[in-house]
Amino acid sequence: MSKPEVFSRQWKVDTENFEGPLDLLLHLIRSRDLDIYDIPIAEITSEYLKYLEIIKNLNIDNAGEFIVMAAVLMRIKSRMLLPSEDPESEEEESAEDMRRNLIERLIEYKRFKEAAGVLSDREERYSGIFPLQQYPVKEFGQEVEATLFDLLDAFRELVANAREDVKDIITEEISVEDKIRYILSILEKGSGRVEVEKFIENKRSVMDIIVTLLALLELARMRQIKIIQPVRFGKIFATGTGSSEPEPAPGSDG
Amino acid sequence: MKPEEKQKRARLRRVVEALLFVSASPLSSGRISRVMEEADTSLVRELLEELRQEYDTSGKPVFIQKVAGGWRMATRPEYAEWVRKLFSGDMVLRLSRAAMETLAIIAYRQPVTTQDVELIRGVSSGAVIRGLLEKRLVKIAGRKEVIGRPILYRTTERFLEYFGLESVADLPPLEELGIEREIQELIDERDKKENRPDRSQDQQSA
Repeated sequence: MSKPEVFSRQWKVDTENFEGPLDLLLHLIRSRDLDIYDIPIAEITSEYLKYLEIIKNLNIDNAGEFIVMAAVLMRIKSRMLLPSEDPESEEEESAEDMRRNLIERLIEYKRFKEAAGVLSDREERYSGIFPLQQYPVKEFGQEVEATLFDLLDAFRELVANAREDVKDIITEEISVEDKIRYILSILEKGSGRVEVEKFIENKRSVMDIIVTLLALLELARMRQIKIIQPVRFGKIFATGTGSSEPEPAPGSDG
Repeated sequence: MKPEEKQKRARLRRVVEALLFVSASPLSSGRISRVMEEADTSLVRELLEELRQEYDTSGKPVFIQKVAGGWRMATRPEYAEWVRKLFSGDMVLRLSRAAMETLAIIAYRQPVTTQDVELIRGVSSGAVIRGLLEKRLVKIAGRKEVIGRPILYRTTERFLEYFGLESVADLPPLEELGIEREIQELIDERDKKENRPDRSQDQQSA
């Protein structure tokens, strides 16, 4: 059978949710009314290979996984055709052992599929139960962590405002290490979250603003603080992560 | 029970109720007991049980749910429709089949590596696991001390909450799962062969 145009390589099937070779075998067993505990290898292999042809044409990314399974089936089939002189021979895996292994894998996989079904049922049943105080935003994280870009946006605005007054920016020098210590000392005093702008001592100094940004990024990287934005596009806050005693800043020389 | 004892107990029950009310995540009886000081864990458990019955019999839309090793208040499923509306258009997200399979394997076999999952599923599963990590249904539980030190995964408390489980041990034993279904299939098949309508009468009995 020649393959239709649509099955050409121009598109790819996303396989994350696509069934694998074991699903195909289970499907064959079911649809051909076969006994999973006593799979007729010859029959299932030829059926499987028919599907494999289609799968190859579909250009799905896990076609390789299907091919591996085909090889397994064909190996069992060919070995079954060979007369075994000594059934007790332990030298090589017998066809029967291989077949048993495959059956065991299939049964195990089938059990997990059943388990997945149990979970789906529970999902259905429990998805309508809402605990108190649970606002859906919390689905993906207790507090919405600000992205780097949120933070950069906030600081870009600050820098833009600071530029109006540029005369005194060269005079003072603040190090990132000092700023880190300053930020930690403010956060240690408690009061939970502090708006990041509060860490800027001189809002007209571009230097101060930039150093504050770098210090915040460094602290966030070291997981000493968490940068959060409770409301989307709203103000950005920093909080201590609570658990840790502050480590000395890297490269700090007092 | 003496009247004053009864009164004290009722007051303690109200304290437990207050704590459950404000807590976003399930509270264990131990945690409640530590907060209350006056009540030890076994008393707290009794109070929780009483509270649960109280809510169940009162017909309130909220009930006391035992989940993820703790207790919490939650709305009953009958009210889901309105709660969802309140959370304006909050879509009902369902996990994919691949995610469910992977979660099931992690839940029953934890801690497991990506490779363990793939061995059972027969397909690559890294992306599915990453998705589950993002949804906080699974977490990293260290590394397996073998070559390559692959990451081990476990299910989270959120997993238990999501599926209304008290613990992973609440899941039905894996060995029973396949069999049950198989028996059901055999019954179905026999019914089909004998061309008998099954118990639900709406099937046409030709």
